[in-house]
Amino acid sequence: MNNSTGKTRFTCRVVRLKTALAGRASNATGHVANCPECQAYFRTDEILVTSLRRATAQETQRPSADLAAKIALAVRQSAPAPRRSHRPVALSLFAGATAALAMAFFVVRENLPIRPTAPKNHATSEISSSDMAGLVSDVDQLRIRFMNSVEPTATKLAAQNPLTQELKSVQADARSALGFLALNFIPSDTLQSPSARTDPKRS
Amino acid sequence: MPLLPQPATGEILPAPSSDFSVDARLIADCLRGEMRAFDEIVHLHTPRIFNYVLHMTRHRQDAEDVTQQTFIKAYTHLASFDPTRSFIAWLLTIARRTALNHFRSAKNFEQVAEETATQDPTPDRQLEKRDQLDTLWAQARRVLSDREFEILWLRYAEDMSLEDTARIAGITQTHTKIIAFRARQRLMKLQSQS
Repeated sequence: MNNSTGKTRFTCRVVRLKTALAGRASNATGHVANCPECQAYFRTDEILVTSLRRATAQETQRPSADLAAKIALAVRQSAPAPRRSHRPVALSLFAGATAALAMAFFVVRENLPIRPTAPKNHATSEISSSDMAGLVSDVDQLRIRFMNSVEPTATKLAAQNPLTQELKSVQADARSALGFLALNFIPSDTLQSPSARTDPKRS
Repeated sequence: MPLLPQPATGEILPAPSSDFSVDARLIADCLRGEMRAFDEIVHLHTPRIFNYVLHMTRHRQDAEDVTQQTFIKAYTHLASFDPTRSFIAWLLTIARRTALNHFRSAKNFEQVAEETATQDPTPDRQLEKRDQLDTLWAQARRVLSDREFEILWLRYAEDMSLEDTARIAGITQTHTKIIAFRARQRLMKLQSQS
């Protein structure tokens, strides 16, 4: 629908963009049904797309007759054989990772601060309750040290994550854009107080 | 002025929705070491790749060079092709990147097109070009940006899906829709004025 200045109305522009983004199934079809300008627009759009498809045959050119043969020859001469698969690479990566893990486990195990214990009587295989208590306290200490070293770093990293900051700035931009749109494009009668709109006696 | 030197003599491009199973069979054969299968791939897809690159470069010799490089790269990396995807879309993605790399260190497309136009003085050719200025795609080339033209070409000339178009152009699907919408609006405006 056109206004007196000849420019397309805001509603029509929104409907057309919405249809372009969401397709004909969008909820903008109600407007189109009652707007002859939009109907004409979509008809023209369809004709244009059909014309573009039809005009393709006139725009395409035949490559040189020997181009495909030349390419095939060039491929044979210059290109190495296609790599069969990425599996060997993945397999070697997996083996490397496993070896590194095993190495790390060995190093950690060697450096565990195990409390020195009194020489045991090897004649008996029983573990005394004091040995067990010492082992438990060692493990506990290790856990606490690990948590103390990892937890603050993780919190700091999460706060400094550029994605989080980007998301926050995008949210702020979206909020300001919505405010601008509401201020400029929502009709003034919808901005009246709710009581003024709902109370028929006042009007 | 962006121009196309030769008129078409009929349907050149294969059907856009070419059979995926044919491509899959040829690729499998090629990965087994059958070079003849890749020759078939080259013969099957060369016209489309060539025409797409030609619309980017607007220079026949450059388009042929880029097409050749495209197939060499495709052959080298054939094992990394995902068979669930369209093979022609994969080839077009390689072609686009190859074309961009081809000109990145030298000149941009506009400069090349200008030079190509000045190197063609024969009257017959000039007449032929003047006729082609009136075609819809030539008008599109005149009024649209390179990016808009490329999106329209992929969508309506190559008949690519929205997903493939976005993937080839390296942008999101929503961005692709918006570019296509704006390009069509410009063309419609041009048509209504003329």
